Amino acid sequence: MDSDIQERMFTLITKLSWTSRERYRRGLEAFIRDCSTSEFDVIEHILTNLRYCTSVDLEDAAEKAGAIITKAWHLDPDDTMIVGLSEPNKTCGSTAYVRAIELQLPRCWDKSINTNFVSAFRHRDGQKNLILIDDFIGTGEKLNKKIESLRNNPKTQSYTIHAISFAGMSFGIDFLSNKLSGRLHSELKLERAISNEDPIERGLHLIEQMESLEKDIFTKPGAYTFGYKKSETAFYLEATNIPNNNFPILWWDKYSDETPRETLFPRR
Amino acid sequence: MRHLEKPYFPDASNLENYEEVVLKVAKRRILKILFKASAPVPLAHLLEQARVSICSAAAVYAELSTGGKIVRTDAGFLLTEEGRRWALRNRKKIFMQQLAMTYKAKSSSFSKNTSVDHLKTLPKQYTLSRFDT
Repeated sequence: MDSDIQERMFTLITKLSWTSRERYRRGLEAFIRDCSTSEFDVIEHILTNLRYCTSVDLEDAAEKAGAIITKAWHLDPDDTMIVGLSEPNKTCGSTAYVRAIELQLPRCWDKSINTNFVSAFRHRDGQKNLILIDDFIGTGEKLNKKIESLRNNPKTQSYTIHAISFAGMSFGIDFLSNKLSGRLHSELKLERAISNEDPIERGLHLIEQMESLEKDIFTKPGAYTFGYKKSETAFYLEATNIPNNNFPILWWDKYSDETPRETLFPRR
Repeated sequence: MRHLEKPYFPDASNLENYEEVVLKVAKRRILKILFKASAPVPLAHLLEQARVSICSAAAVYAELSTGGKIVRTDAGFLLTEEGRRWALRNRKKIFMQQLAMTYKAKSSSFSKNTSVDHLKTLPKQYTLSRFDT
């Protein structure tokens, strides 16, 4: 074990209180074992810039989302459906956020709230507005597919669609916001964690080090290089499944030779 | 606490309690080593001697350095005079508090003789004695 990296990791943990929790020990120790001194530069950068959120952040965001629904968009529970993006028989991060928003809205909204996307449309009579809720927007692909399917379906094409997410990548949010004529709210808007780094020489150094680290987990670059479709996300909401837009060094659980790898955050 | 490998890691409902206990033990062990030391203790030695993780050690350092009880120099960690006095004053609370926790076992490897579906105390080797050595 490189004592210089160990010292640097120690300093980093003292600065980032969330990293000092025992649950992250194995993931952080794996970084110490696997990184060279220069590769550790990018680990320091990612962990320092990682947006670590807790249930308190989720509650605060839900409070704002509730106010946007009722006061900014002036939506009425009698003709509005709030719909999470979870699929039947699957767990989904959106469910917790839908629930948090539900608790911030008056009780008259209770009947308008659905966590499951498909079953939501069984009782759609008289509805005009639709609010799609997700915990995280990466590239915007998933939400865009839902929007397209709703617009192409004669039964749902008359809805005015709105969207709310807890966090998202700025490029994904901008893409969807255009599609929805601005009817989208995201509490957190995140930028790419490395590419936007200034000065450019520093950014190039970090890219080089990340490529080097990813060689340990991928035999060749693929869909998850630098996160799904190179999203370069550095975000985690405590106790949830980490989005695949995050750098895979944070969640990919195998080395390139298929041996198991300790990860900082869980993803299934 | 030394090698609480995955089978011994508590489930989500007890994780915070577990982390609190781990931190208290780490604080106790680190203070004990630094109290005895006459020269700065390098990080690697501190982790090895105290048998604590880098996460716990950093959390303990962050807490105690804020109050000026520990300093970190190029040579290692040192308990300040104020830190020594504080440790002596609070010795009962720091060193003699019985720390114990229970959690629901996640793995059958937890114990060969008991059912995993019941609340268990930690196996003896993972409990913390009155005088943690």
